[in-house]
Amino acid sequence: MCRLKTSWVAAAVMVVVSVAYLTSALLYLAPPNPVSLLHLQTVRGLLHPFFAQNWHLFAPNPIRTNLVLTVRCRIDAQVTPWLDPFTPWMVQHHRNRFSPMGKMLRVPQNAMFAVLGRSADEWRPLMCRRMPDSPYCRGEDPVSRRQRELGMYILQRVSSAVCDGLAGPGHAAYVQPRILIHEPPPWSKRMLPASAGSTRYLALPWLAYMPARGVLALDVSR
Amino acid sequence: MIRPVSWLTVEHWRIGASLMRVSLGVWAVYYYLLHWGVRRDLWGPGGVLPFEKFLETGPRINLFQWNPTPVYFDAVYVAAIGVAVAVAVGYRSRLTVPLHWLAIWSLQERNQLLGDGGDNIMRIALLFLTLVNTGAFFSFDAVRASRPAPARGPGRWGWRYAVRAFCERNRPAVAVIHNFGVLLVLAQLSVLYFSTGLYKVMGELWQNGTAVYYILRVDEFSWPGAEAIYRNPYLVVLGTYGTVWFELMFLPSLFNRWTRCATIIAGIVFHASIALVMGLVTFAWSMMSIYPLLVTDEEYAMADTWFRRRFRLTALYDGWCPACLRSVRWLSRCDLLSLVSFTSFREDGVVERYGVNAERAARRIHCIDATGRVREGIDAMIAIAGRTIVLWPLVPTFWIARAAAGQRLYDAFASRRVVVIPGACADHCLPPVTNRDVSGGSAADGSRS
Repeated sequence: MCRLKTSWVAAAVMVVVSVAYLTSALLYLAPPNPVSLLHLQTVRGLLHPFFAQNWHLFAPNPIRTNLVLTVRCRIDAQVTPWLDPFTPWMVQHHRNRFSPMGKMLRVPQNAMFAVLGRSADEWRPLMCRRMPDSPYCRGEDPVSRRQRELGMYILQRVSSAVCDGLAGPGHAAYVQPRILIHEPPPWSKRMLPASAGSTRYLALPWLAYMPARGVLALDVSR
Repeated sequence: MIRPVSWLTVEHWRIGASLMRVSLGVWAVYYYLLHWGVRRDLWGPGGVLPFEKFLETGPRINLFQWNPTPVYFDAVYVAAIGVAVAVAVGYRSRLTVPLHWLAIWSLQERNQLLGDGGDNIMRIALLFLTLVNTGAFFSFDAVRASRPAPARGPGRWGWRYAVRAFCERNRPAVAVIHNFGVLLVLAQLSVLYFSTGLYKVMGELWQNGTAVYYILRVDEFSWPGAEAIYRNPYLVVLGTYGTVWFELMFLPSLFNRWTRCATIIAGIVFHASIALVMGLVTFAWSMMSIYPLLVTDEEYAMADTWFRRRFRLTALYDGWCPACLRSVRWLSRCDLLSLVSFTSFREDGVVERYGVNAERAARRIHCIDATGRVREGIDAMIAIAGRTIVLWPLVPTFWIARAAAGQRLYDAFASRRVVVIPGACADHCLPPVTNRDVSGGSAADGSRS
């Protein structure tokens, strides 16, 4: 009798937990809709941080651009040419699917995405259509600002590490990251090489050198 | 109303849950070791996100937040590898699975800029897995559970005994929690596919069938050989629409055994392609780690029965030969799948039962497979090694030996063995072995009685 009671209690608790979790997850993950809007704060409160999830996985539209980080350093009064230390990592990643380079490349890639304000938040475009001048739409809300600052910090640190790799630790006074944004040719020109796409550069401001103590062990002396 | 309750109070998906535990454990060991050389850069206190900056993100329950020294970081990292190994082999899985979740959670939260979908599903699935009995099979826990419980004595006291006694007393309730844990993992996987499929049908590139082209033209997700795929309109459209179709149909397909089987095969092909072509190996692995739960225990039992019926092997060896007995003991230990049953042809009635020639059996080991085909000598050794996973590395050597010397090499070894005839000699007491009788080769008379 006692065993039956405990299993009933367990079943009841698990049914409540499962229904609450699945309802929250569906509301949290569904595209923007009126019901999700009503309960968004509650649902986020329930799922964050342990059950936070994002399953966009190349949706609604996949990434269409290559981002490449290039860096130059100001050492004494001289400015170095633009350095590209991450393309060899990409080559290594292509050569060996079982190397840690896939994860290593995420460092500059995701930092650049953060600086460029890329977001998986589907509510943002909806809000911005209605209130284009809100801080949320201009990327001035606390979450966006924090993300951009973190991305900038990582780029500053990585760029400093690049300069360390070139001239030795502590020689550079300033570093400047630049994001190369390359869009491959469209489907109609699929037979053309990647160089046939469009390329533009986004030079970020000069940043103070930040001691990076051999982070990423970047060797740009080649 | 009674049936669902009685169904719930018995643990289901025990084999699937155990396989998932093994896969997630091996995945984690691979993940930790793959990034061993760059661990300090990615997650260390002096890495791309230094300790102070990490603390600014407001971590909650993170193993890396308590000490900023590299030594502490390395100690936690090494301990996490140890926990992952314990999870893979099923050592105290009720304890190690939650610890494993904590280690994975801590690592992923240590640098949030590094995560991908695979990391995300991994940590959620592990959290649900803490509710599940994952140590029922393929584990040290299962070996320990198969031993008889100690009788009265000091072992009946202490926290271990208390936990075990509590679980025993509330076994039906524990089973209910286990079943719901599994259902939550499956529901999470279904939600994942449904959610991403729903977003994809909203995207222009997924609608017009060119999404795979644009993904494969991004260097991070491409491969030097990917041109052959992304320049071919048929492959691009098939890959694009096939992805959306698979993701949206995943949940409905689970309700029928045959569509479920088709979905499992399609899912494995889908994720293997992602791993190979797009280079997202750990993502694909963590997704596929959940797939064993898509098969029920009964279906595993059916597959096991079919597999054994198809691949079972009876090996007839010389029970009078001490070296053969030792080899058989060793081979039996290596035969992890228990596919080979060893029988001495010297036993009464064996030769008649299997219809083999006693004289040939005295000279060479014989194997009879499920179709009744008889192999002998080196061919029998190849058949045994082929069914014994730990001997797979030896199979090419056997093949080469077979191609180079035929049965002669085997006969040279076998003819030199010592045969000890027991006191009472039955019908199959044979005269000393000569290779000439079998192969017509050299007349090495190696058998001594």
